Amino acid sequence: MAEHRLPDALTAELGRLGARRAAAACFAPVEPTMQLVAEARQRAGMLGLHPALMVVAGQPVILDESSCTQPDPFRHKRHMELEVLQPSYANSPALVALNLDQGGPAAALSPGKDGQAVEVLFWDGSSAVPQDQVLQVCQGRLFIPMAAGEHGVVAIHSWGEAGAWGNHVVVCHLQRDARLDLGVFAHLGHQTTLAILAELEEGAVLNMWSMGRLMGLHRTHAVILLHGAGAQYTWRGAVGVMEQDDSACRLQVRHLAPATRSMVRVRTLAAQRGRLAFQGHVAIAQTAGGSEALVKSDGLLLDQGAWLESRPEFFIETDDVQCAHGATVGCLDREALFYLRSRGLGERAARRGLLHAQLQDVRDGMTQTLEPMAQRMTDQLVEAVLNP
Amino acid sequence: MDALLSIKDLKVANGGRQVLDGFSLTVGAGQIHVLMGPNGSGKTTLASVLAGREGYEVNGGSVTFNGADLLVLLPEERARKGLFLGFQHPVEIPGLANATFLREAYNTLHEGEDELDAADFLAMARRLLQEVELSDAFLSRGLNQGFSGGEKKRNEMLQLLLFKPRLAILDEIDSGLDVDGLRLIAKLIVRRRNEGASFLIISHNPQLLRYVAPDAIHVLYGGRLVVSGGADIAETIAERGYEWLGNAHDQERQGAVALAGSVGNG
Ligand SMILES: Nc1ncnc2c1ncn2[C@@H]1O[C@H](COP(=O)(O)OP(=O)(O)O)[C@@H](O)[C@H]1O
Ligand SMILES: [Mg+2]
Repeated sequence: MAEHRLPDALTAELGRLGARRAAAACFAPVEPTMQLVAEARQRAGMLGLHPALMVVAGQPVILDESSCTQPDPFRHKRHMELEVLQPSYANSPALVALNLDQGGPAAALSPGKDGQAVEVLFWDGSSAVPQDQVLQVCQGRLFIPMAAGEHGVVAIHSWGEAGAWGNHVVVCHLQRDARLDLGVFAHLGHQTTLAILAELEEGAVLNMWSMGRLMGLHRTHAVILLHGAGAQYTWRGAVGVMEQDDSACRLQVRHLAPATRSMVRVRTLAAQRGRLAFQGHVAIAQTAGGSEALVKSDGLLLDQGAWLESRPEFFIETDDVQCAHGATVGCLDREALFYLRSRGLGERAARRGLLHAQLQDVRDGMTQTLEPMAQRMTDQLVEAVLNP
Repeated sequence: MDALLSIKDLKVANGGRQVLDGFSLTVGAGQIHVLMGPNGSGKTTLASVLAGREGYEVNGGSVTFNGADLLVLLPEERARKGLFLGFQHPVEIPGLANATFLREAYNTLHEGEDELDAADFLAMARRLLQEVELSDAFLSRGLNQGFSGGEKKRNEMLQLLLFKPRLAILDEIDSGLDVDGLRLIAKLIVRRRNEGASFLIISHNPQLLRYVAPDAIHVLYGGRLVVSGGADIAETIAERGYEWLGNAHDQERQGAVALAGSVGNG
């Protein structure tokens, strides 16, 4: 496999991060050797996953051929823009999706089967690779095409080891009346950038849930195109930062057709010196009369040095719309903490109770098959911010 | 009778103001004491300091509960030793199901005993809900979320029945309750008392006092207890308000009259 030179700006950025091997000016996507694959399987087992597809150090490893194929799905998607290298709302720039043109082959999923979740594990394989010169970048490239009328459930897990980097692109294309429930779970110990691009045709429905710690210099960048009349998008997030995390989520929803609907609700947590910026950007085109959009974010600051920003933005080109947005940032309610402690709960248990209460509605309406994973992710996130 | 709660010369400041200035009170096991006093006289302050709410400056005096120094304990430790505060304003926590909260608190407060499994707990909680005349729906709702004033107070009483504290401080438990609610709560208080529990009830409500027949009624004024006595005190206050106590209190300070009795107290 050929080595790719990292751009200078990226090298500098990685150096700024203080990542151990950041000074290395190159990375080499690693071939998924038998050993790496075996290890990835073991990790999947530890997470209780049954992946149909693993992306190990950038290379897809298909375990369930009935769910996955290996075309080059990005060929006709390259025109989709990813204008995100340096988001202005975040403290630091970071790369997102440098791998549209680089990186290994992509995999495609066909999740339209019997309501079971098709599980995907992105794993960087860092522990099995010599770490002294090579920066591990796991480049997951995933295409989820949904045929007309198809329903599917996909759970994407990204997990790796400290110092590794996941840099993933997920492209969804939902044809007429298709429906996709998509869980995106960021497991601890691994920093990622994630680009999600979705295009929805007439009557298609995409429900997304994002959960976990957005570690290190995480960036999520999602671009959702509501292309067909009556298309619907929901995004619910329960995400947190801690330690020195400096992360950002940017979500762009473009209403391009009549009677499209979008609903974005995100719960953010910031502990210690963690920083998290959230931007929900909704554009409603002139052609999108009768559309509805909601962006709501609620943040909890758990320590003095923590920082949260939330910016809903609307660009509306037609009068015939209903839009609402709201953003709150607060601290744990002292009176509520006292109430719980006066009932015998220790301080930690009381804080845990309030955090779970705060994140509770994120799983509202969630597909049953995703629910246990989401519950686990929420538990992990709460324990992480409680237990620095 | 051995004192369960013994407050001696307690001094508490809040926001630069000396709210309690030499407050003393003793509550024995199985007794019901009532604390009255005008708005802002420091009743909630006292309840809060006893339960361990932060933000108060205790600058004198001592409190023992069941023989141990209460003021050094964390709020949760006080609760585990059997002290319960029925809040004047119970907190709403959306997202935390009442049942989940009740069960976790129950298991914490009854640590060392066999943990109840979910089904047994639910059965018990349902039975107690009936006692406080709330429907089962209140278990699945968020803790106090959208409860009316009276429903919140019933939920406080539900906790009292569930946790079985040795001493319950009920801060204006009657506010927001209708007549039937009041009678119900009085009945439950008396029942718990007959099982040996003690109460410090903060209330102005003569009807509640009539129902529970307290061992003593105390009036807090100017940061200390100025009168302790029987039911007649409540009636005098109902008739004459708290004004006359002010005069008596000032005279007492000047050493002219000693009004503060020790009827039923100690
Ligand atoms: N957070 C606070 N800061 C300053 N003063 C307070 C605070 N909370 C209560 N107080 C004052 O303390 C006094 C006693 O209040 P409180 O104990 O609530 O009275 P009560 O319950 O008898 O009506 C009042 O004057 C009240 O205004
Ligand atoms: Mg009060």
